[in-house]
Amino acid sequence: MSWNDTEVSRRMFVVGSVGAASALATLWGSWPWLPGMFHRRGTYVYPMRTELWKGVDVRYSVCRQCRSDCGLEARVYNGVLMKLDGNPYHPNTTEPQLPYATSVEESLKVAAPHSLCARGQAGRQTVYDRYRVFFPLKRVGPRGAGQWQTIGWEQLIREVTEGGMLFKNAPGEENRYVEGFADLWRQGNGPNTPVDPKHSDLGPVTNQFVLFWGRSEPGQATFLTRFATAFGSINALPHVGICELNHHVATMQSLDGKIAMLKPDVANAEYVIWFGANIYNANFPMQTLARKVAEASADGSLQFVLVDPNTPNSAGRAQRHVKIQPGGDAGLIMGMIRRIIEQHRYRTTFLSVPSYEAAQKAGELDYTNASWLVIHDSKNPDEGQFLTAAAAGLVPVADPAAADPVVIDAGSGKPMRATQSVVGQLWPTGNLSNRPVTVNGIACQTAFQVLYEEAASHSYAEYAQIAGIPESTIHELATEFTSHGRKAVADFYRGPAMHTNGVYTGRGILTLNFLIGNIDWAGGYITGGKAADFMGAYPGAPYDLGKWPGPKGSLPAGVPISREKSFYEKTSLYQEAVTAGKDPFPTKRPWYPFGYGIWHEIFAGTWNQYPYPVKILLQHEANPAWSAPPGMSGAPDESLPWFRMIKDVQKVPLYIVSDILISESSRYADYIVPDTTYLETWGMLPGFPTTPTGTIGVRQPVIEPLTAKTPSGAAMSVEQFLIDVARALGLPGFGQNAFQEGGSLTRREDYYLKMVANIAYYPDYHAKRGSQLVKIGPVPDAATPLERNAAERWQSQYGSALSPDQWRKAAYVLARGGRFEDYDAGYVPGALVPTQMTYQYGQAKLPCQIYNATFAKTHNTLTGERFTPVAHWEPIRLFDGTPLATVDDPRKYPFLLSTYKQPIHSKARTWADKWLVELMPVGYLEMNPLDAQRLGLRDGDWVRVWSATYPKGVKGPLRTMPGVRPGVVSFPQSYGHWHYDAGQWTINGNTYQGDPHLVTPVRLNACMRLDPSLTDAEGWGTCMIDPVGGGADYYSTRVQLEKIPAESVHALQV
Amino acid sequence: MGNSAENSELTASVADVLWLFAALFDGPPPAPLWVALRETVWPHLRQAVDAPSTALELPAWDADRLGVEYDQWLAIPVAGQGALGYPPERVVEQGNEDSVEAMARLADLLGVEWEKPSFRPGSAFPVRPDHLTVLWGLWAILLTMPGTDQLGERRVEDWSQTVWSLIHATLTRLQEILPAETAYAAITRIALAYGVEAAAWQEMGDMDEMDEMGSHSE
Repeated sequence: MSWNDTEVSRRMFVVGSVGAASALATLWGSWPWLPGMFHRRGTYVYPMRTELWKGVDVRYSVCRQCRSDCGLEARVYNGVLMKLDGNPYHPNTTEPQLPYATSVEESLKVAAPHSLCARGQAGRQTVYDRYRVFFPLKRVGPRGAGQWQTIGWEQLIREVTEGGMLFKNAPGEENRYVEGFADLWRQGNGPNTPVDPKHSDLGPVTNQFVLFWGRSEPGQATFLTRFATAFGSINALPHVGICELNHHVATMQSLDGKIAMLKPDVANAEYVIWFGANIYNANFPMQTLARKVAEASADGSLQFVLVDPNTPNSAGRAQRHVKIQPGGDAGLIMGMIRRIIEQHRYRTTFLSVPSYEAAQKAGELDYTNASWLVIHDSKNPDEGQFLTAAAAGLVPVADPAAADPVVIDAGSGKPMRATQSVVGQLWPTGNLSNRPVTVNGIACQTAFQVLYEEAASHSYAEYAQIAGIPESTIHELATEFTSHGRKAVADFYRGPAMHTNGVYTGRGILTLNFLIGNIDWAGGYITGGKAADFMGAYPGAPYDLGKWPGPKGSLPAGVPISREKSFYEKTSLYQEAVTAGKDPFPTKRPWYPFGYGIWHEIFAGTWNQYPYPVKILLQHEANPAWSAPPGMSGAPDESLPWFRMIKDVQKVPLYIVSDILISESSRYADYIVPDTTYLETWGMLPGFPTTPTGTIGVRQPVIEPLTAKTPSGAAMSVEQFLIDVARALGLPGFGQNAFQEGGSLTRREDYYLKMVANIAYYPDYHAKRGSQLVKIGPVPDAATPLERNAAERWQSQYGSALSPDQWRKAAYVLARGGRFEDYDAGYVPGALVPTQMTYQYGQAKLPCQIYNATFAKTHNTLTGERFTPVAHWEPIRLFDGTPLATVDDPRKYPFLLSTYKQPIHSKARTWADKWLVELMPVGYLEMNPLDAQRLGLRDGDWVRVWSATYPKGVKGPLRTMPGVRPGVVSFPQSYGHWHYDAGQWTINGNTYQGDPHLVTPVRLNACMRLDPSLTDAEGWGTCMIDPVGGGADYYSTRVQLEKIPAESVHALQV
Repeated sequence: MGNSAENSELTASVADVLWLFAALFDGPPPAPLWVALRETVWPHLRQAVDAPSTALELPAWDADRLGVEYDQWLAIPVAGQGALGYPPERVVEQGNEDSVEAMARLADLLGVEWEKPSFRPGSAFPVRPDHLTVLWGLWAILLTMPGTDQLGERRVEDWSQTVWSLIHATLTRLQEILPAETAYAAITRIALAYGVEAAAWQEMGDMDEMDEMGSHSE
């Protein structure tokens, strides 16, 4: 055989080349000596992309460095996470996103940018943080002493389940018996044993287990709730109350009670007013909304206005920036509403449509209750409620239509059931007249009359003063807003919402949108795409994860410790008082029928042991000692209310924390459960309304978790902790026979993979085919090598979680990091330009609520005052109604304290990412130069800032910022840590020192005002709270400040 | 010519080997990689060129010695330094000035920046686009494109032939210059042998493709 023998030569060449390349495959990862010059300029493209290097695994998942939940692309080599970028299938990161049917092999070569912000890219530092906790820790000594011992997993499970003299070596706890989960579960009788025998409607003793979280998102939050529900506790509580709760309540209570957020259809909008929404820095999703706004404003199709006392980065493109007085947004909004009504610039044809059927006939996508009649008679027991057809004498009381609302029909001029009228009158007694109309002897106004009466209760000059802006601004914005048909939007977020008047202000913003009838229209205010249902509540779903085999308790689920989502008026406590002839108000702590996730009330309920004592507090991925609630924490000061509560072992007998490191809060835990980071765990993340198409990202571990293994071989995590406690107790829904469809739940993947299967089989995603939208049914089976690989790494370990057929479809979804409708499915096709959204609130057939009748019969449970049913301005008040202006003298406290978010940092957890810390290591107190000049202050000076309830104050460096409104001092979120990869602690007698460079200023949350009407005789109190929604007030605190000698800051330097 | 998935995989394999040579002529590999190359990759390369078992062996130099060889014989010296003064890799310049312009044009079409932004000791610093490292890389990229495709003013197969002829000329000249016992002489010998086979394979592949095209048009 010679080298010149062509046939043999060619065959040997092929064999040898393939063999050489295969051998090279294992070496490619250490290939950096290949010249970088071969990165082809202008593209990332093949063949030099690291995604295409042999040995590099590319896995799609979802970020969690903020709540935008962008899809991510993780590059993993030899099990080590090397780089994070965006997922080209995910609409957050790529526009337009890759068609979902694109093979994964092709997705690795796509040239379009698929981005992840700086926070997202830095996330790998969270995984490899050298201060991570990998083993269970149990405290040694008192809470907060920072002394720990490692214990085994079985010991952890046994102790928290069985309880006992768990801390007998801690001074003062020698004889303290700590109840464990078994003491509440009572071998299954716990859910049937009332926590208060006299008030069984409060629920069972198992409600004394309270689980709350900071960051846990759909999928994982559902898992946590499954445990709580199976255990018999209603207390699986998110963090919304210290986040944006009032925004959500305002939105929900203006719509169907469920939809918590709308967003502008930026691609088609002409004009948007953003109230307190930090566009470019934050909001949802941060990079997506920023990209859309930047593009639309750059090409001239969008003008936008920012209403904010601070100056977001987006101000550079804004048409106008209104520097509103904090808490005064409702002055601008109600003034606009008044102006729009008086000038008749509202869309009459939309507002006067009284029912879904009438809307269909009129070509409207929605309808409102603006024309519905409201009882306006203080002697009538139903005052404030909608007049019913029976009360109007239109039908007998027993008629099925007896409860129908009533309008004055525009055609006949007579009272008519709303469902029978095509057009209802807005002004039955004359244009702009609030004079009631009498129906069947009952004085009534339309909801629209009530709204106008409210709006007209203050002059424009008063509104301007409230808002701290010129009167002309009110008129100009009202005119501009109503000059774009339906292609204008008023949107908002925490800025106007997180005040004591936040819900009412938010209702005003929703009302502005209703006045122009923009809901569901292209360019208007939209619900966004509907995500695939991962819980399997749809017909034919592989797994209905909301149900599981097991007995139901005999008691109602009861009332959460925070008294959220509960009408006090419906409880036995209320009935008992009324029956006894006593005033049912005030209650010991407020009740919040519309709000949820109210941390400050979780802690207040725990402190006050109202409505029942807490026995076990489990905190997951949260850091209340540093983060929130305002005024109750935020500084290393154990006199603050949160610390007082958590150190009290009588009020919090057992405090378990799942965390990834020893933070400011987990330092106080009794036990720390080592948890996995977001790059090592699961989640199912729907998209946000900014994206018109159906979106659900699947978060899956991109690397093997770094936490230690349990004896059963699972990675330690909060899920495995709950599974093992559940199995020790014998809870239904865990262990063997955990699912209706069969199968066990012994590892978290047994659950999460079923969610992926539900997503894969979801039938209702749309695709555009010609001029039609068609439903596309389940995904295809995985067909390419990379698609199959995506599931094989799970199937090899957790094969029993799904059937073989289900694996083939789940693989398709896992390989792409989720399931996403294509870009062109967001609008109803058929028109030359988009006019209607595919997903519409109107499909629910429920009204846009100008008037919320439930508000009118719900009380502030401290004062007994009923809530106002329409948009409304009221001053910042304490919970007992006292105006704050009468409590904190502006001469003594001349500045309003504000805060905002930067795009580099987010929440507590990004402090673990040193790339981000290097970029912005210090936060400053920011002040307008005019104020600084007046006070003789300069950049770099140090000041002490204090409030009425925190006189000792907080110190920090100052920076002058023209973007801050005069009279306001502001600071950025995320700074002021003292024990996040910093501080000192001992484990097993060994002392560990964190990084002192990570203790930098400034955080002023401790200065935020506590509410004296919510403070007890021991001086323990909570922040100011919106009584309607329950959201915390962050932006109404008045402060004073003085110059102090400068202090040094040893910040992380590059 | 077999099914397209197999062809694609084979083409990728051959391109990988060309990249290996691009890297080797750019600079010596790190020590662990060098050991792995000698032990796991080299036997396959010798198989690919159907070499007798005793031929084309790599001497068992350690990586340090390899680095010394590279610096002495192949690195483009910084002005005023180096024994040769004129790096042998640039032998292609001799009597072949058009090649510089052609390769610059090809690199531009492919989006390859042939000139590195800065010099790093121990690594090549191409100042002309017909540097050996660049040529191997250009060939690896061209290999994965259909030969009949138009790339600028010429077809891919034409560009490939030009690149290969330049590589061939350079390697032939290098064989004359490098002492036979050096590792880089051994690398040059196998690179030349592999290049001959790869060029022949590529030409056969293009002929098959043209045959297919011809049959489809019947």
